[in-house]
Amino acid sequence: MTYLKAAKKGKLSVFILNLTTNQNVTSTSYQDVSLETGYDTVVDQYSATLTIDATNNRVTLPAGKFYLDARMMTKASSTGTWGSEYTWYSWDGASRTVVGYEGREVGSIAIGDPHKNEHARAYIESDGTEIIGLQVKRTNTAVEIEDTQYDQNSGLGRCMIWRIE
Amino acid sequence: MSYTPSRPALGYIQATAVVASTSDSVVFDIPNDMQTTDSGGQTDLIDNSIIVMRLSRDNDGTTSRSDVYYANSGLTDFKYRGRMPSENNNLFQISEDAFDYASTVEPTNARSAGTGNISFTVESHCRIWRLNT
Repeated sequence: MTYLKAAKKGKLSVFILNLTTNQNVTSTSYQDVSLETGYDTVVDQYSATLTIDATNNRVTLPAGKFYLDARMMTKASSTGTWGSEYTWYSWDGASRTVVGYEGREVGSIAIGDPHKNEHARAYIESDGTEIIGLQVKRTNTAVEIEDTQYDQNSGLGRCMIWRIE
Repeated sequence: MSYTPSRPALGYIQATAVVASTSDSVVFDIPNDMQTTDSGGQTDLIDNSIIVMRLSRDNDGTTSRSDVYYANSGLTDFKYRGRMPSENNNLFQISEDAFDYASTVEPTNARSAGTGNISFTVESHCRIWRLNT
């Protein structure tokens, strides 16, 4: 019988983006999620650095492989029918290409397409020049993301970039 | 023959069920080789880990009580909060994980709304990514 005594451990760099607070989402077409400069470094075992372009709301990834996981805090002014949908996208300098699975937050009344839910998740590889961003749209009535009126009762969005290799 | 079994890079720990007004009373003390001891509500992990915590409640009939929580005490950044909605209509109807990177786990209430007790279940759990730090 053989077995591995040593504990197996992983290696990660985990970052959380800073989103602009109180962003109005008024369109059913995707719009950029506004980013602020800087980011949270949760742990950084790869000594990785993100380059945040807060003017164009995009992030340049260093070389490596990445898992992207975004949860968007979304709020409307009532308990009616509302929601937001959001995705990660890659940017080639001219256009967006959606990457990964669409995330969604739903208000207190169910809306269509129940297969959509939860976090926006994606996998992407970078040669050091890959540029990504987040985009969001409303499903029904206008909503607000990163709202600071009710953030005590909900927490704020957690848009994470994990370098996994 | 005795040996030390290997521990995988991923872990899953659970809390004892408890009926309480807030998540402060939830303790991850069910034996698991990913953790060591618990004291004062805090559980020590074997290694520094990414922690994704999700607290669970049963159909406890306390329809108005919600709980927003952190995975450890001392956290203040709203991005790290988890969420347990009530059964009432409210603005936030979806559960959400709490998040942290630490060597401890201690459910900590950040904000509650409504009144009454919540019946936290044994399905409250943390997913753990053990890191080589």
